[in-house]
Amino acid sequence: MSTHISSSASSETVRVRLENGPRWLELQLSLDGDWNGGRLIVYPHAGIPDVRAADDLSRTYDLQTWETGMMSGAFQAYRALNCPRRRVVVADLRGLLSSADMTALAAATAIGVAKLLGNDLPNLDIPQWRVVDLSLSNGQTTFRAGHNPNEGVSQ
Amino acid sequence: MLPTKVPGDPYPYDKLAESRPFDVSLPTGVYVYVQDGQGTVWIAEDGVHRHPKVLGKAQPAAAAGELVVDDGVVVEVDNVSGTFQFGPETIPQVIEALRRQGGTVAADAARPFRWEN
Repeated sequence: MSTHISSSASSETVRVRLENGPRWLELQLSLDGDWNGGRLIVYPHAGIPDVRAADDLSRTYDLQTWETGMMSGAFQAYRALNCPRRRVVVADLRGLLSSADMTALAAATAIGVAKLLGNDLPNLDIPQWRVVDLSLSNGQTTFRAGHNPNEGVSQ
Repeated sequence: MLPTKVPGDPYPYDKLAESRPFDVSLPTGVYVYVQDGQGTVWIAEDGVHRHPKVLGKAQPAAAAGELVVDDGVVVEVDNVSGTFQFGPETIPQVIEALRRQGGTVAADAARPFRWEN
């Protein structure tokens, strides 16, 4: 089953970067068509992700493992915003993550999907992680350096 | 015992303090659920990456998804969980368990999804 897409996704993309001391993650996302089953996460090209493992358990992780966090975050955004589910195109996923950081990856995905839908998510439960970049492809930059995602993300 | 599988995220999270078996007192809202191997459906309030924390400790589960309650009635139940990705065949056993646990489930509540294209 192919994990890549050839169709054109939404032209609007969002870049999300979260940091927690030496650990960090960066995602670039856009939204494709409605999801009613099948793959939720798709990739425009090979070579994704580039995640460096920070502990022994995360060294056993592959793309499928990291996808569980991205899927979890996207689904949470759709639930919280009561929006129809759409496929998520992941053009970039990089970071230095431990096995305990999957919740941060899910939160980053949820923040990004919400931003693409023109919304913000309150009360993300990722203590110690900060959103240091949240920018849309049209040049609109909405991040607040040092912002605590547990207080939600606002423009 | 129901057939089970382990979560796709194997980190041994602590079980959520709020995680509890489904019961009829559940207020209107959107929840995540996980069914354990004994058939009990556990629920927790919605939030980021909740499914692996409903049972916690990377315990195997028999089903997982989302559940919507409206005025005491389960009006939607699906198998949407990125962590577990159970197939739609699990939904009938979940609805049966919800009823066994005292719930009222709408006749059209099932929302099955397939993970394969």
